Amino acid sequence: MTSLRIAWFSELAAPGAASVSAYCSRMLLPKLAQQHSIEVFSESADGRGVDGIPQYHYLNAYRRHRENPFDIFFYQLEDSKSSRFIRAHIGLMPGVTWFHDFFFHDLGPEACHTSPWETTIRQFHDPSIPFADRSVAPHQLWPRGYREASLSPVTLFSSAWARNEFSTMVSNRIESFDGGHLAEVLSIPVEEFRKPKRGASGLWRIASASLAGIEGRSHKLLPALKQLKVPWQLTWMVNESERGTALDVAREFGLEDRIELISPRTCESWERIVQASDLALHLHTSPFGHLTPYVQISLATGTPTAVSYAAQGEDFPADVVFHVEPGLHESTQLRAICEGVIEGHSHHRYGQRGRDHIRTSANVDTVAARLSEILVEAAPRVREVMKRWAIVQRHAEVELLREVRALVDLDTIPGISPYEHTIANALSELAGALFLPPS
Amino acid sequence: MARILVLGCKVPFTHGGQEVLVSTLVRQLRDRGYEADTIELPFNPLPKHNLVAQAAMWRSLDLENFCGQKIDLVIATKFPSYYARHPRKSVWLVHQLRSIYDLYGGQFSDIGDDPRDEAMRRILSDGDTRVLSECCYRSAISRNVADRLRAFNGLSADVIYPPLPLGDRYRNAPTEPYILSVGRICRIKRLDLMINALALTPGLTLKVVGVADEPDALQYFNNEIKKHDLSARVEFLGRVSEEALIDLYARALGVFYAPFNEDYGYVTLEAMASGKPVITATDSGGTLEFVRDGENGFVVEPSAAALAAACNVIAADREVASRLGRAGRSYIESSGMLKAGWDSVIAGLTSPLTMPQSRCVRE
Repeated sequence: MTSLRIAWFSELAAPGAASVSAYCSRMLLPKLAQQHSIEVFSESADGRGVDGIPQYHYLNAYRRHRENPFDIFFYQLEDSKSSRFIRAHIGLMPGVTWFHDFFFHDLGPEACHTSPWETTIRQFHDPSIPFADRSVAPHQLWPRGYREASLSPVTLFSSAWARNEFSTMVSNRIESFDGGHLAEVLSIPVEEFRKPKRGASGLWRIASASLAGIEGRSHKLLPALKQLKVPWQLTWMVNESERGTALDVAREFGLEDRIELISPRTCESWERIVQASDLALHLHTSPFGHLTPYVQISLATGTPTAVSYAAQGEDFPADVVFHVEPGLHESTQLRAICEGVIEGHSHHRYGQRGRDHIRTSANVDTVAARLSEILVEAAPRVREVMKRWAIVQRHAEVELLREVRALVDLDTIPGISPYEHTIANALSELAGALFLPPS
Repeated sequence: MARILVLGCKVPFTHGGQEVLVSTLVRQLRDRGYEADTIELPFNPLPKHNLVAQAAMWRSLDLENFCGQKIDLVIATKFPSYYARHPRKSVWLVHQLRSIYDLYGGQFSDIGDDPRDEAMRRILSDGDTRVLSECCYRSAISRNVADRLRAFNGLSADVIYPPLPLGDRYRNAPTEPYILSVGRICRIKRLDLMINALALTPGLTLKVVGVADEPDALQYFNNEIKKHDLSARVEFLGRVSEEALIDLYARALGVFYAPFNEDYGYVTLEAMASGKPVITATDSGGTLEFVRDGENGFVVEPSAAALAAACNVIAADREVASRLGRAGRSYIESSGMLKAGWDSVIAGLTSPLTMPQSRCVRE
């Protein structure tokens, strides 16, 4: 069994904070650590890591790599501020990137905006190309992960829809490290939950993880719920910042007494909410993230689940979830789904199918084993890229010190060459053997 | 008595906490009988790649003897002064080159993923680890600065808070309806948040002490002022005398101080010593070591709306402002931040003088 040394880049949010990467790390790291040697790199170094796995600040990764080289740098990216440091670091060291989202609301941290990464990749192939200065205009032309995918010899996608977006819209434009990309779909792992038996409260419970804005389709959902003939209660998990909007919408439809708002959006909250519900709703018509891993958690609990048939929602098979077509008949369709589940028609079978789907496609052991296989297969290719990347970095160091040397020459008054040589010696000391004093 | 050099870096035509710290430290050392003097080299953050050369310049200095007189101890303060060599080197770390550490990747750093930037980051980060390891005694001006040193360089440091530069001269006086902002005028101090908040705080004005030390910073703030039609309510006072500063603190309703991830922030302590509530932000770093939300000030989200809400609370109820201010003053009095605090500072920083040489040389 091949064992790799892996630099695992992920936000490790404290319990209670929403992060797909943190969720996946919590699920997968204990399994992967049985085979591989893993060090976790995150934006903090406060020990919020996974038990027994060392954690460092991400800016120290180069030092750990120099002391004991990694076989692979592994990144997880999602459409969240918690991913920003990873977007920055991908430009410093290529690796395997797992895209939980392929569309991002922003261009990433400031360091990415005017990054000269395209020239750097060309430099990778041809050292005679001079290094570029950072440009004035942003290089990340679209909200897609164009830069990040370009800087990753191997890309993984949580969603087949996102992988297809990458394949059709981006991959042919990428000037990659080695002339081609490995792009695979890897499901988000989810534990299987036992759904507790509910007491006979007589209240029909609906759970929604849909956003409060228009992309969350509340303007279609609430009219549908209003027409239901049974007493119902909606538990709506929203971002803290969206509470006001959600409350306004509820009031607009006169349903504020029927709706319980829960925030922030976290996996742990959703597990609890959906386990106590008769129907899970994931209405979302935007290409940006926020669907996962909540849909998977709903399916894993065996709760009948409805998902908008749009963007990542298209990934889920029609015999596993209720697809909701955004548009004119959306309210009618939502009402029919609710009534079907209430009346206990075939719709209850969806719950079982959801569990089966998760068991086969998103079981933690299965996903961990597949990820391990992918990394082992990718390791020789990534190692080769890293070897050649080290040459680019060495060129950059020499180039930097040549620039510095020129500045020192300019700053040094003729006639005091002993001082100049002392500064040159100090530079040599700081930069190791790279800097050669003038002959 | 021992001869001690305090090492500082000076950005010409600017004046901030570091300059105050260096001059006050030298004065306090002299008061205790040491022969103390300052060595300052100009610091120029541009062009950025020249920072390596500036570190090398400090490294190239021979500070062991001057004119046949032995220097017994050097006390370094901020990047790159701690690159200086000396067999007995103490550091009271004000801050490192933050653009390669805590500010990396963000809007306040010009270091990107250009491989040359990365080469510089590695050279200087490794250099920091090495030259700070040489120090016989390591301390930092705040828990925040010490935590950064541990996270990025794996080095520990004692925390020694700088006592207040004007000692026990701060006082309280009947308040006037203005919010005071003190400090260099630059983006990282986020004066724009307070200017925008002012649009939501009718009846209050803003007095700003300090000068701009970033190109276009003042123009940007002036644009914000014009945008919100606040010209009559914002007053830029420039640099003021010590007496005037004490008086401005004394009469303020509250003090705004919400930089991004501040190292320490004299302003926080000066406001508290003057019996004034401090309005700061949840991401303001060192200020959070002192300001407690609802106890001696406000810790709010870094947004104009949140700052305005805090200002409106003290504007509407002066008793609240007084209560928070009294709590701040009481903290300062009990913490040794007034004159008495200097004894422990000097004891720590000069401790290498009494160490055996074998403990001091770590290279």
